[in-house]
Amino acid sequence: VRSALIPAIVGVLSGALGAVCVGRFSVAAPTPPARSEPPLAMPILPPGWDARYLARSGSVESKVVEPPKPSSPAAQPGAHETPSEHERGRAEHYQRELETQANAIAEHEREPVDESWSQGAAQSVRQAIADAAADSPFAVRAVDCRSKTCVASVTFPSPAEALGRHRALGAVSPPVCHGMSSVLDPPTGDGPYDATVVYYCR
Amino acid sequence: MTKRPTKTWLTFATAGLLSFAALVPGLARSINRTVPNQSCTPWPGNNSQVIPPSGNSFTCGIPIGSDLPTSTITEAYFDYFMGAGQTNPHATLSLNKVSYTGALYSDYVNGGAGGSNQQFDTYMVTSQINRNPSTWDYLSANVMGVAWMTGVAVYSP
Repeated sequence: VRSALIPAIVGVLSGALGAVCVGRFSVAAPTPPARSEPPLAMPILPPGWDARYLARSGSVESKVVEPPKPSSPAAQPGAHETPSEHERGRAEHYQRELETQANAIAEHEREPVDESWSQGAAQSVRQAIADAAADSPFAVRAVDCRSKTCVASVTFPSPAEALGRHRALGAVSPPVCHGMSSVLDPPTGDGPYDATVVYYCR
Repeated sequence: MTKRPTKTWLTFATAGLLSFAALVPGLARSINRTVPNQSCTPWPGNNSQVIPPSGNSFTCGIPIGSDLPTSTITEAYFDYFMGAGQTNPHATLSLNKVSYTGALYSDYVNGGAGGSNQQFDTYMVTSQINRNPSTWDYLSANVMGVAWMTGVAVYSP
């Protein structure tokens, strides 16, 4: 036992020394990342939306970053489906998302108002969206914070603009919160369009 | 005669490897997905997305495949190194999901405030990205207020 103890101790010390060296050298000399432009693509048209909104959002489409496609063919929706089956699946998924979002808004409305928190939180959310709106064609219409969540109504000039610039809202991160969700409701006309964002804060 | 040195070397090597793995955090966890430096792109660039008032930001795309559905990501660790671009660099780390119907979900956490030329490990519990799991979506990690950053590793236990 004693004869195995010495190499074990020396091994532990050598490993620890190696770990320290790896940590020091990997941290001490990082190199700046190579810069490249993001891929460009069309916005996603929710099921049931008029395709002309997609065409009208063409003026902003080059500014929208398309999510990278899954590398595995099995991960792609509709890989073994007909287009109609895929569209039906997407429509059902959209309905579930709309219902979940409506439930989140209803839960928010049932929350009691924490007076000591809600006003400051609303100001923080409003400011974060306003900062983002400096470069996007949307405006904060209303922000309501209760005790755990905030709901923001954001107005776009049209459904087409909402389609093209909706993802800019996903980058808004008010420091008082830790998560958000936003599902675009089907438009009722070609005029100003309100998008709702639920922020999860406490 | 040859048995004893072999046993000694094995003991030495095993002890060394175990202590090395325990002390290097990345090796002690299983890496689900690492965002390479090359996929980090500066904002605003040609797109006029959010420009944080404190400086530049980066977004790193993480394509989601069958090996990493978003529904399994309940916690995430961000390991990153960021360089000073402003006097007070900070990081807001977020996991964003765009579902294949266009809906947005995001979880985010603030970390690395005031730090520059340092390595950070930031931990986050997710709730929104694993709600409504979708088969076509993506995650991205955004770091704001820095001049540059190394790759962001996202771990899921």
